[in-house]
Amino acid sequence: MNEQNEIQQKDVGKRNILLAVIFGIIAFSVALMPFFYLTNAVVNG
Amino acid sequence: MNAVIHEEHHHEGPPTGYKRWLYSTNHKDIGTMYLIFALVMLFLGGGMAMLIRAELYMPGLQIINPDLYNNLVTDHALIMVFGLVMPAAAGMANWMIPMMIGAPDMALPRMNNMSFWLLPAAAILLVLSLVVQFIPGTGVPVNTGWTLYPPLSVQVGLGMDLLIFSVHLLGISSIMASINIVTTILNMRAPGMPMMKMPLFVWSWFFTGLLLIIIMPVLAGGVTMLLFDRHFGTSFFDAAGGGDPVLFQHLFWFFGHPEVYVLLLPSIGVLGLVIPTFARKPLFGYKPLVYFMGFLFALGLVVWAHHQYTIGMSLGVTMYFMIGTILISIPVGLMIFNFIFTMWRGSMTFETPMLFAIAIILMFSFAGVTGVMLAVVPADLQYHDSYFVVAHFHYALIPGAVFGLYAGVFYWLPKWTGHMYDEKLGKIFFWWTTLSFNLTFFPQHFSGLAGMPRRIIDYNIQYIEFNQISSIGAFAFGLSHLLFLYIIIKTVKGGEKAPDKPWEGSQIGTPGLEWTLPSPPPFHSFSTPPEIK
Repeated sequence: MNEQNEIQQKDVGKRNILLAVIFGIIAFSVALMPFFYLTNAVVNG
Repeated sequence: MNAVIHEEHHHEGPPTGYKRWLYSTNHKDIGTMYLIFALVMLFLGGGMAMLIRAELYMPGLQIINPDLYNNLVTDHALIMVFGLVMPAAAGMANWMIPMMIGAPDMALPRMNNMSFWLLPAAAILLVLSLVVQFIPGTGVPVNTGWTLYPPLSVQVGLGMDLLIFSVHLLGISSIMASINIVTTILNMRAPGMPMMKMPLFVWSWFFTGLLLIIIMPVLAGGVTMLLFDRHFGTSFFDAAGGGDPVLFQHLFWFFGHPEVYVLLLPSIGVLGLVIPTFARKPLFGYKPLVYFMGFLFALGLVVWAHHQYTIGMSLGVTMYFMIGTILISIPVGLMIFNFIFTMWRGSMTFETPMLFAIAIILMFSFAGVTGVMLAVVPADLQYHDSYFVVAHFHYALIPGAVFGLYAGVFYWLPKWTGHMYDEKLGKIFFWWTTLSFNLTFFPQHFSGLAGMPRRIIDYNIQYIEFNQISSIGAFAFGLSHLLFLYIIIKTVKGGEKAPDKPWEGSQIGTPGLEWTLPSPPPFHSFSTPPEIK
């Protein structure tokens, strides 16, 4: 039973990290949004 | 919900000394730290509000200068939003969500530790942004208000840079906490608990977490652009250099409006537990309530520009934002009806959490009515930047968010501490805060309608009575929180022992597994997943 639990917990650990990475990528992509407004006019005034 | 718990007795207790808190990966300890942090910020932000109201007791300049006044207004808002409500709600999420869904801890405990410990650093930067103005040569104080609109925010002094870095840290902390909470909810539920059996508080945090993951990076990006305009020669928000100051307003409110729902949703989740418990009836329309929260989540993301009616958008765009905003009153109104129908013909008792829940329904509905008034463009053009708006959002956020947190604190204090709080003192606190809150903010509707502008230290003599009533109410409201602190300390230190299920009706409806644990719960709970029957 304990062994089974440990295996389950490790699997959950992998899934947790995977999901967190996906959400992290989404958040990071949104935070990169300023680059969409980078034009020559904006940078050089 | 019944659960059979095969608890393996781990005799490993909590670490001792500072290491217990500094290195903590335990959801309950981190939840406690969030709640203590929020309490400290409550008094800091509240102290600023007291200074503001003391200054406004009379027209003319009394205690502080106009720039410091505007800086206090800025920091009061940021501290209350980022320092009080969000950390307090995150503290409750940390404490309760793993216990409700039968998880041993949060999905990513180390990240949980980091999410919390970024907050004190952010708070220090925020406070420094206020005090740095007293050092000669650091420029004009941050007198922009919490919206940080350029061009003013590009022109002010060093305080703005500190504030921008503070917002960065707050953003990173919130995003990490949200990722953790959403991942916990999706992956860590005990076997036999589908999402549609989760307590409403868990659902509310699911949507709150998703919202934060989407909106916080936009604010972080926006203030980074501000930093570039200030120091690196760009002109994102400078029309003379090819940019547009209105762009910042759009970025800010794309974050700022859903942020309102970030503050409100956890409180709605608390209502979804407190009302069935004390009405002793299952929640009326559990599934519709979940759908309404989803609707609120989706609609909340696409109506931000109703904060900007006066900037001169095209008629079509203005119409879109007006209609979208008014549509929001539908899910919110239906939620209110669900809660009222839950109480209908229930065996109601009026313990402190229930009193707060009823007050929320009444006063938040009032804010909803003034919200619809503000959503209507021609009317808003008159109310914009007046005290009517100040009254509206304080009615939305104090009952809607802060009172919800009070309800949660009183509801869960017995579970957290193992002691019952003093019910008599709790009720005194309820009446004291509710009456003084109304005394503070109700008159501001009238001063606003009469034309008193917000964010200005001085005012015309015709508004003196309304302001004096407001200030007296505010001092009483502020003082009431000393009683709140006393009740908490008294409950933590001792009192009548709380049973595992301190409330008679706590198992009614869709409760979580938190009531299957002792009060206070052990340091490690559910180290073996419970079986749900």
